[in-house]
Amino acid sequence: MASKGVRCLNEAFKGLSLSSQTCREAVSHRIPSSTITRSMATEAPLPKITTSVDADSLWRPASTVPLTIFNFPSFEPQRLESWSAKHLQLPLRRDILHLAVVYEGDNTRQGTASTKTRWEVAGSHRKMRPQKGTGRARLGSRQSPMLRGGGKVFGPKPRDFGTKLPRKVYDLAWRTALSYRYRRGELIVCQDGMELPLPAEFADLVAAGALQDELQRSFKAKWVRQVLDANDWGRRSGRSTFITTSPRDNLFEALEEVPNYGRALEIDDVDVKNLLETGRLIVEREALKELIESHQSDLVARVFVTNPALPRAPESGKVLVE
Amino acid sequence: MRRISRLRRPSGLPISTPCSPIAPLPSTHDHTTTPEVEQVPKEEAAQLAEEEIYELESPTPTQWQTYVPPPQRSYAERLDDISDATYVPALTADGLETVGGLRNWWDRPEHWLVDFIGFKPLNSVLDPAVLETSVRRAVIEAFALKQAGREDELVKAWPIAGEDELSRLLSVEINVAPDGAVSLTGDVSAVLDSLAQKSEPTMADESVVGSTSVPVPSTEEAQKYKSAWGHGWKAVSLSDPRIKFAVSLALYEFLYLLNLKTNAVLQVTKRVFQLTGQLVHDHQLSSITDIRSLLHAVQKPPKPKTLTEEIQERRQDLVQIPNVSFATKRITRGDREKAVGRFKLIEEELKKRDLPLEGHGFVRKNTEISRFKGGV
Repeated sequence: MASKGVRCLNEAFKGLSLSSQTCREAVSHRIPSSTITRSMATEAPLPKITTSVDADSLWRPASTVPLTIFNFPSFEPQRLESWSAKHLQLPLRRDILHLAVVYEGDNTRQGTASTKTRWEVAGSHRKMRPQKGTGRARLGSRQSPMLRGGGKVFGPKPRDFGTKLPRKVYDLAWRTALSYRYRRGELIVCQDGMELPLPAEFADLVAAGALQDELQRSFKAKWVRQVLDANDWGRRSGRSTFITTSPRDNLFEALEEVPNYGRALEIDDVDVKNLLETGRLIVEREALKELIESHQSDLVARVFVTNPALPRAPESGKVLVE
Repeated sequence: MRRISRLRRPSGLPISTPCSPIAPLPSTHDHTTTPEVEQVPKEEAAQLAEEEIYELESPTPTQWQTYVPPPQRSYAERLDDISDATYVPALTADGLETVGGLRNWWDRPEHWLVDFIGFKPLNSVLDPAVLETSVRRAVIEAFALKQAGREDELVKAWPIAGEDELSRLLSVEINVAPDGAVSLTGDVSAVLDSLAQKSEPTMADESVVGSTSVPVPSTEEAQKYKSAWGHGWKAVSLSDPRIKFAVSLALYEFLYLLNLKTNAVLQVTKRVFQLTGQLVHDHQLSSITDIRSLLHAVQKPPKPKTLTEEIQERRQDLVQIPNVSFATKRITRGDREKAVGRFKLIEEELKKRDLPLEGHGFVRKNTEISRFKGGV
């Protein structure tokens, strides 16, 4: 043990001595304070081209974006919230949107087209006429693909047209689509419980039995047309897609009457393509939150973090002004 | 056989009056009245008696003020139940106040008396000078409330004042000190009074905020105001400069700035939206730091929807060029032929050959076209 310790000490002292260093390192020791690093006469001092950057003046992209929450039918701004820029301020990636829309289209194909080959067409396989002697062309069975009513040679068979897309790419496409709408001012977020209120007198009329079904439906249609036109959400402004967490009777029924003015969807029915389709999206706040939370797999860390206070995903929905 | 159009039988409506189908409605080749009635054969009358006629009663119950439902149905007596021998059923609709069904019931103005009113005014203001007066009004109101210490009212919906209050509002002056402090001089108390008034809700439904017609100065008045104000007030900062200096911690800087700045921005933009219908979108909020940037965002004219609109509105120089003609729609071959006067001949020839005048005959239009245009 003792001999080992002495050997270590010896090595340490050797390391300190001049002879153990390379020539280049030794020079800096001998000429300590000089801007000239080499001893040759041709050398010029180094220009001061680099400067240290002030940390405050650095440009930092905003980590949050403001989002106004509106009252539903009246369109009155009610609250301002800050949402993560990773949710609503992503750069536009048309390629990813295209991938997502094609992926959805592929997966919604029914793929049930089916034809019969000559082996599946029903009927006898008897030779239709003798091979020779009739003066006519030689023919085999009635199922021959050459004949009318015969089998199809390379016809469609039921199959799955579905394609695959990495989950993270698909989720990125979702938030890219929402961000695109946000930047164009076409993402209108409304308060939770978004429902079309009908006038009180209409409810009285229905309770009194003064309106039959047909009149009730036409009333709702006219009312929703007025609401959408008053807010510039209607047909003239390129339709609107309403997204809610659960079905809302008045809103959904009324919009079914006027498909030219917009459509209403529950969050389970929404796709990336729906987000890109109409003039604007009118989304319930809770629905937007759920949509984003279910489509942020690329943002959520899958490693175990010891500090539970750290957010696992970017935070959204902090109220700024109310 | 021609029949007078009738109301459809109600499906779910409980009928109080006993249903008594009446009134032979014989086939009327002409609309002559009474004398022929007696000659209607009995069998035909009986057969036609199966058909019911629902007549609209004119008096409507007065309890429905805003949306008038169709009146209760009443049914005429059967011809054989009538004891009066001189009774002659009508054969035409002459004299009936209304004829027809419930098809466009709510589209008639006498049945639909109150429209939906939202927060946004019906007609958006586009004139830049008028927009500027509205922005100034919003700024004055916001800072008046701030000075008075009624900050909790800042984010509420403010009532829309009348014409005379508007002129008093706009006469208040905004002074911007070199250090960015804003002070109002003038009749600030009147401003506060106008904000304290409760606008009476016009809708029967409480959940809908009623905004009455917004008094807007005319373009000439707005120009006069504008020249009187100058440009100094546009430097009014919507962020608090002292806080901006204080909060220089880099990490949460944006969040703090956003919070404190948007307090002012939100109340002004909300009011501008209420008065003019010009909504400042969320993504623009972070770039709005003072009135000048707000005006820039609000006054930007809307993008023309079509190329025609754009050329007519913005590129008059193109329209003026003598050897260039400008048409609002595409000029087709047919239009050229019409201009020369040859199209009539072409039409005749097409008719002779039994060819379609428009389109391509049996070849259908692209079925996707309606969907591209917003149809379903």
